[in-house]
Amino acid sequence: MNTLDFSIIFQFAILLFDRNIQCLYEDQAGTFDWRQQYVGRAQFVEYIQGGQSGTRIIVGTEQNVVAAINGKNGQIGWRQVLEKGPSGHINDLKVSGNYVVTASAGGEHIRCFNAISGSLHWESSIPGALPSHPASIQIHGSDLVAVLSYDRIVAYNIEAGNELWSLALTDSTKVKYSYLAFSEEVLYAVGISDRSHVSLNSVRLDGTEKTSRSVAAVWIASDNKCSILKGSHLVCVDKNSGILQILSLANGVNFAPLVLQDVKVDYNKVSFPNLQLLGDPHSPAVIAVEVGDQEYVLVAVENGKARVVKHLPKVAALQVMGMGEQWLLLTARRSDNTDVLNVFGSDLLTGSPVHELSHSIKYPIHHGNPQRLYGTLSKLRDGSSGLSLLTCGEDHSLVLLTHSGKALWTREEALASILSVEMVDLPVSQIMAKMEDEFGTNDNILQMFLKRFSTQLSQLWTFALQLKHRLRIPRQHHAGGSISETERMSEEDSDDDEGLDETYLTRDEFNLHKIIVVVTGPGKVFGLDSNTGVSIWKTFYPSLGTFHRIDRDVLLLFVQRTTAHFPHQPVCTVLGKDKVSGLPIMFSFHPITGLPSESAPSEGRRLNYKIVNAVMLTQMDEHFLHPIVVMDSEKKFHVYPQSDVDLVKQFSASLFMFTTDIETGIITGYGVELDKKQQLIGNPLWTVDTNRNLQAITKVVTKRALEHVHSQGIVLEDRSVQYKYLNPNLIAVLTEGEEAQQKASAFFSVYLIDGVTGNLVFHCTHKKSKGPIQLMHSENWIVYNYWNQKQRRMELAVLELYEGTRQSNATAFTSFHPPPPPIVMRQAYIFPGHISALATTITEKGITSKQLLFALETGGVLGLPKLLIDPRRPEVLSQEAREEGLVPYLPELPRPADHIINYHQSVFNIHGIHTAPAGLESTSLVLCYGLDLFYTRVMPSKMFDVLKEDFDYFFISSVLIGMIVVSVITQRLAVRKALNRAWK
Amino acid sequence: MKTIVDSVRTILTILVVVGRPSSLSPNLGAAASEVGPEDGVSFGGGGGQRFLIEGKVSIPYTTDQDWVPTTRVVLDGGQYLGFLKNDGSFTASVPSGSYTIDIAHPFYVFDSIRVDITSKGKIRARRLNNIQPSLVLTIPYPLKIKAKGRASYFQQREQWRITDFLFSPMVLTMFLPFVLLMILPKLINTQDPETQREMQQTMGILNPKQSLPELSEVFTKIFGGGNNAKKAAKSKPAKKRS
Repeated sequence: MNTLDFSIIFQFAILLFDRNIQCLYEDQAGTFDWRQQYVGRAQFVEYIQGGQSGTRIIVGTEQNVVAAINGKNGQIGWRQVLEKGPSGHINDLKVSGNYVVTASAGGEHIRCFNAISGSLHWESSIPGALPSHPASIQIHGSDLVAVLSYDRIVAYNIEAGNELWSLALTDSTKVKYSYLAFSEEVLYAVGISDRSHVSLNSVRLDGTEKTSRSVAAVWIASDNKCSILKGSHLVCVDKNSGILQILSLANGVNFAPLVLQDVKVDYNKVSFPNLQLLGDPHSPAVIAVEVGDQEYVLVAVENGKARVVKHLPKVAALQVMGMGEQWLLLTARRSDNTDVLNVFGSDLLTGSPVHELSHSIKYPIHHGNPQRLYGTLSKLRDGSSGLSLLTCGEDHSLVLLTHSGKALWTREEALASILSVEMVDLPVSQIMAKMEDEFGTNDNILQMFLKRFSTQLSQLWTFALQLKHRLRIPRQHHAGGSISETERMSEEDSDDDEGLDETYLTRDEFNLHKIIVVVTGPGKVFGLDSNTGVSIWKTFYPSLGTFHRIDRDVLLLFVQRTTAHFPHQPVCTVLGKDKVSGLPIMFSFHPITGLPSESAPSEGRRLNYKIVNAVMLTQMDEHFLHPIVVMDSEKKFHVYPQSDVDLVKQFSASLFMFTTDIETGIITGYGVELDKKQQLIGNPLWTVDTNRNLQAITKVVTKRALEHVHSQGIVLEDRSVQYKYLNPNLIAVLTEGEEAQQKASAFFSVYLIDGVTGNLVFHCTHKKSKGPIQLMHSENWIVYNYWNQKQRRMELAVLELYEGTRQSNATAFTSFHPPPPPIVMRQAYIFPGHISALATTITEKGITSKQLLFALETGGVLGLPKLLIDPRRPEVLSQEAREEGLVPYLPELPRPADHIINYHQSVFNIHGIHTAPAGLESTSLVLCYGLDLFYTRVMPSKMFDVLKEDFDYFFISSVLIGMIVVSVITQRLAVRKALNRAWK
Repeated sequence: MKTIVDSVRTILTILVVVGRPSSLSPNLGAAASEVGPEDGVSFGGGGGQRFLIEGKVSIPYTTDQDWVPTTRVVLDGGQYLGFLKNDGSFTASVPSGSYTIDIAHPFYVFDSIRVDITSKGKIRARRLNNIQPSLVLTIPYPLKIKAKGRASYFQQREQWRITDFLFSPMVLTMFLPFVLLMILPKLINTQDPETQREMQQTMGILNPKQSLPELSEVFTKIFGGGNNAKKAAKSKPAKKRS
């Protein structure tokens, strides 16, 4: 009954704010938004050949995704996103017939999916599984699935999914059971006991234990890499000496060592040899040992003895595959820094080359080196066998190469791990630039006239071209929002055509068309076209590694110079750390073309110190470049470009920086000073200790530097003004902890600290509440969500800060003479759902009301007006409150379907939302990123500055023309009538 | 109704939300404690006994099975997941505790459900009520979840209809007088002397011109008489404008 009443009130509330917010019409779907779905970096790849649906590639990825990719076009056939984090981490994936079996979280989840439809066939859970202990799967014949977990082996029937038997393994606390293999009718489980021995358990197919023995191996470490070859031999690498140790599973008593030094490998270079098992279970027992960078040794094992077959220097990736009775070795290598990948095929045993399989294939340099190869052969019409080769690149990409020497399709899986996003304006068109050029020169009148005349003529010409283009476009966009995330080769070819169309990459009327620069985890940087989502350029920086901060990887991206300063070229800079040395590295590039910027070295600028903090100044130098200031671990400041040191010195009195130490929980603020050598150095001004023993800092959120606040206050019903507390230096610090006395009772605190003086502006603590907490900081308000443990629901709290009815300093805010402590208004609401990312819209001038964007775990992105998340929503709607436009308080926020901005284009594991202003004040551009990408435009206050897109031009013009026609006709009729009357 | 709303209000307006089960009916409080809140339940994953939540999802609006692989059962915002089998059934193994269950599908909407599992493995399902968490409206277990309907993500575009056009105020004010002016005289035979006389009579009633003075005359009478009054009246608004 009560719930019914509430829902009625909700509907009323929805009606109230419905008028203020833009909702999509069905025919608008896909016109300005796009979604791209990804799977992530492939860990497991299996082919399913033939059948009705053609070749399917089953992948299990680092992003906890199991998916089937269509072999013809690279599109996702089906995709299942498993649990986030370690509880969904895929330990093993095997394919048998039409079933895909996965084990995740150490065997906590054993799932069998239908390979055709993607629906679940059966699932199971192994009791006592440990997520930290990876499980492994082996399939015997066509029906038996055996899974090895922490302390037992469990066998299932693949068809029915029922558990056939379960066998507990002895001594599992000391022995780490990690390897499982079938050999004929026996199942071997191998465990490693650190620095002592290897345990071998053999089990019959009916689940009875056959033998259990252990072999001494003092050299073995629990993190050793081993492999079981063809179900008969265990191969391990002794990490310290680099000796290969081989043991026959059936009857081996001792490990037989094989010293790789015999093969003249420079062992000093080898840091950690990797083992890579090659081929399928039926291939000859050959193993590849990675002995160096792009260097392998092939080792064949027979009867407990091993011999080196081949030494392969300069090979990026290799694979063994069968062709009839023959076993072939495929190797791939990039020919020195070119776009060509050389694939060699040779007989595995004899070493004679197979020309059919040797190709030079175009493999763009931005994929880096191929890391793994998965080749299959198909019979062509003319009887010869065609090779199709799936490569997993260094940049996480999946490329299907064919024997024709071309890539059939490319999947840029790096985009599933975006770390930083910036939207960069396109440059104005050449004509516009010429027009602006006109004002700077001192030509005579005739020249100026001719110039103006020619520019305007060409403007007319481009307008005609655009009109033609616009007439052509709707047909291309007919497919709606289903822009394929795979770039087929034909599309890549058309990239060159697009280069010809110069007008395409120029700023449009309302600056809605932008380049989205994204920096991804593997170090690949993309320039995406905001209209279509297609990448315009991509650059791979192989040495670019990520910083790790609190709970996620970070790569910093700065827009040092925008496109507004023609003829100066725009500059973007990405800051990360070198993968090898761990020292910071910086790359600068042109955001529109992706080419390295002329002023910076193309191989990156390496910094030879440990970095603590890096910021971009809002001030510009004489070349309109924002300098980047980096603080090192010795509190010295470095400025890039170095020529701007003087500028920074000039501003040093007003330059402040703060650092957060997660380990100690101390936030320190620094001022900038000059030391004796006239070098910039940090001077600690203040520290805030958040007491690490009780709580840990989980988030530090500052305001966006770009943000404009249009109105300085809100007008109350008595016509007085409540001024906003707009402190640009305010930082919000979030700390989480566990209550000491009570078990399983978490709490968290929010601190608002002035970043210049360290003044604690506000502080509050939520008891019996826990994360995951998302916090958003904008204008004079802070919004965060948390899980209320007591009431078991998600809640959303809002803080708003006001100076009061007097503004202490109307011209500029200064932290040194702060206004009296702000009035904090706060309220909490129940949020119906779980939030994975939180953001707010941003517009050019900040006039448009704000909209809050919530990425929900169920796949939607909800946009709610700030009006609903207002701490001043009154309990009883008085006349004054109504006059102010306040919505009455309701405990639960609504979740209407028409406010889901991505409608049915669900996106998963979203961990960030980037918003950027467009040229139109009403419009904000939104990119949601995580496993999937979704881009759209939102109009929080509807499109108040442009005619509605469904404006009826036809009706208006037809009425107008009709009126003119009628007036002309009636005039003639009147004339005739007058004439007739005159004649009478 | 009012008391419950008020109690919820007081709970929520305080930012540090202090639950007050006492303000709700004692029976409900007892029901909640029987299930046991999260206290004492380990959420670390692994270890501890796990229980199976079972259910079946169905969408009555469609006959094909395409919706099965795209549907996810989300427990506690993705901490645990359930995947659907071909017949729409799902299971999820979880430690004892209380979980919210959402069915995520791009096109259909489902009701959210809360499932409580005691430490002994007794399972109870109820409708999710965020506002009064201790209010129990049990639903049968194993869960049978039916789609509520298609999600209406889009606004209906207004369609142009002739009636909308005809009854719009602009058209009514423009065309109705026009119609009256043009058509009515045609209907009445103005040549007929009888009707002419009749009309003159009615006009005479409608336009009692003779008895009433002209409006302009009234004004000239008022303002023409006293110039001072006119000036005063004019200067006032002028002041305001400045």
